[in-house]
Amino acid sequence: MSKALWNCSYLPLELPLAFGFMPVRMTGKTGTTPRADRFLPVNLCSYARSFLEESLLMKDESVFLLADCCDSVRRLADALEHEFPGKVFLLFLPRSQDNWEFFREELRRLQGFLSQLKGISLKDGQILEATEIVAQRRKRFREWEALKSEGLIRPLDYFHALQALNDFSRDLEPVKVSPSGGAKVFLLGTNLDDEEVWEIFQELELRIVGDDLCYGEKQGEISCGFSRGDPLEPLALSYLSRPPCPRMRNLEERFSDLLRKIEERKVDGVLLFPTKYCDSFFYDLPLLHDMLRERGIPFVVLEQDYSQRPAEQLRTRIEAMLEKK
Amino acid sequence: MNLGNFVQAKLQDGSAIRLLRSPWIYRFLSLFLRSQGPSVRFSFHLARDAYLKRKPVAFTSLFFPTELVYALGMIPFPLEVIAALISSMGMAVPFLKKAEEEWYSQDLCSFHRLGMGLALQDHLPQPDVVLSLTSLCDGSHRFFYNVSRLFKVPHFLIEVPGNGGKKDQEYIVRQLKRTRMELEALLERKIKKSDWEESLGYSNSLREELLKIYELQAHVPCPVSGEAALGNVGLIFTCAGSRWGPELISAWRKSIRENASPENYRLFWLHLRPYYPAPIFAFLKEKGVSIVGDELSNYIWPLLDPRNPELSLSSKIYANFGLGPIKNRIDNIVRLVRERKAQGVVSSSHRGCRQSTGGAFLLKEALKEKGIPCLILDGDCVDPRELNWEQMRTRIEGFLEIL
Repeated sequence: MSKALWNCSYLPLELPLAFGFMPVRMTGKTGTTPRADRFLPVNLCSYARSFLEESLLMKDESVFLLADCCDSVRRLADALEHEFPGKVFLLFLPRSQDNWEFFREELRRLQGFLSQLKGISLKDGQILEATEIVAQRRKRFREWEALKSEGLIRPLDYFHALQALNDFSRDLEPVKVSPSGGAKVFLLGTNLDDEEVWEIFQELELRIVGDDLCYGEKQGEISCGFSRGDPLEPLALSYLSRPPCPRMRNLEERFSDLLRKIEERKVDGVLLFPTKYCDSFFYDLPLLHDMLRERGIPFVVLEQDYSQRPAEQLRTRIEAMLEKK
Repeated sequence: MNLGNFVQAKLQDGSAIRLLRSPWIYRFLSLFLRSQGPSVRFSFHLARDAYLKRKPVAFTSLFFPTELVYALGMIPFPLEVIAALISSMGMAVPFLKKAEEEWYSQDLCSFHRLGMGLALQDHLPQPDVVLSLTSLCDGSHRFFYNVSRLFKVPHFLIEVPGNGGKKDQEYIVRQLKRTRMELEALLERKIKKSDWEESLGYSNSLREELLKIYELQAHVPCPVSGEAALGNVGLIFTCAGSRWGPELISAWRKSIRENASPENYRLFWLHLRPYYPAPIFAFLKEKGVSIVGDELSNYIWPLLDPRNPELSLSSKIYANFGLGPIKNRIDNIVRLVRERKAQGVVSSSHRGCRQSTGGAFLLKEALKEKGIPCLILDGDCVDPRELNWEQMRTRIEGFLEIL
């Protein structure tokens, strides 16, 4: 089964799945990017650079489905198209659910691309079948989420659960419940794929009670309904109405939603992990800073750069933040 | 204390703003206005109307179609252009530092960081609305959103998909119509047919004047100063739709001397230039380099039709060279390089720019395949702290040698 490598959780995985592709999220890998450096300069998002590096190393036949979420991804798409012509699709992503009809038409364009690639047309009900599979996985994930927000899942177990959720070649195994008395923290950031960082969380006995990562808790909040008519309509609506990320328009909703979760879960601190050169998140930072400071919630900003290994400093800075509480 | 230091000190302590908000300063300056060129007169009117709130003020992003703003009787206040202006006066650093102190990362685009520094220090007029496009960059959306939040005014955003088909254009038209209607309701002012005719008519006249300058740029030797063309980018996009547009560009054309100096090299410029005082253009002149065009001042759009204003404005938005896959941009550059008989390309790599700098390597490789050498000049258009002149000079010298 060919893989459909994707970058953003606004991309409806139901479509590639319906066409028989295996949706797999491309994770960021820590290390140098000698192959990607030929195409993308160092001041571009380090996740996009890592995505390209991993793609250039791959030997199997895959397609690349990218949500057009930022300038870095657009340039990533250009580089991928250069190396894998005809295998790259860039999906335009409106910034608010008001424009869901346009998004539906973009999904139709994606359907056409996949149909041409596979040389098949979908039969009635195939999208609905794929929707059911994705919904089942998300339902399972939401069960873990409930345990996680109580602080009953260890950081590494949650990390592995997230990896599995976003990679359809893996089954969702039951997660181990491990009560701990460590500090309760909330993760804010784009993507956090370096296992070493999660090991540090585990060593510090942190309880990750919530997150706003691109592919984390928010994924479980996508709830796709069913329609007797155009199956793309509920897909477009449900994806655009999930809790917004820093790139989107309904940011007041985003901030109030975040604050509600942070306060409800009585966190001891917030860890902010902006990916290096992610403009959208860096514009959030001053607003998040004000929001957390006004409410006396301890926080620390820990820049995530895939070109460098997480420093020991990370541990020290988290410990220092928790001591402030 | 010299005048520059005095003005800088006044800007930093906020007293210069008090001056800009006083009607007396404009009465005083108007005594000297007649003898000034149109760009000074335009800047005077823009500052006066915005700071004295003679008209509703719209903060605008560079490519937002100002024809709509003028048709609504508003005054556009283009924050990125203001940032370039402040930088050209050598005053960028205190405002950049202010933004950085308030958690705006040094990795963000310095045009936006500087604009935010000005906003945070209360150096901008109070806007009524903030209007922006998603083209050409993503940072722009969040910058203008954060500004609108700071000033507690509505933010209207037009999203521009990159594929350029009929469906995408209709999407822009719908958003333009919705924005226009919401602005009309907010301002309690309906755009009349004559407003569109006037605004789009001025824009068409500006376009005609620009086309005459493009013709001159193709002459050998080139009589048009590349530095001036890059300096006029902000004016082109701020004046489109007002009576100042054709007047300013016509004055620019008339100022071009027909007898140009002999030239050793003809180069085409990508992206913007450093706006702070830097020796680069004096050095290029010394080496006999003519900048025979650049992507931004050579942004041309189809004639606008007042009978169908939103469709026309969507075509103007879609004429942008940087939309869609990088192939579109490369094709545009190759066409202009051939038209202008340029020997090579200089890609100004603005540090915080993901959309332009992000594609520089792909672009360089594609141009090389077409036999067009390309020099990538790392730096920053607004933040003088990023300038390494010795390194830049060596790279330019090396590039000229291979030509």
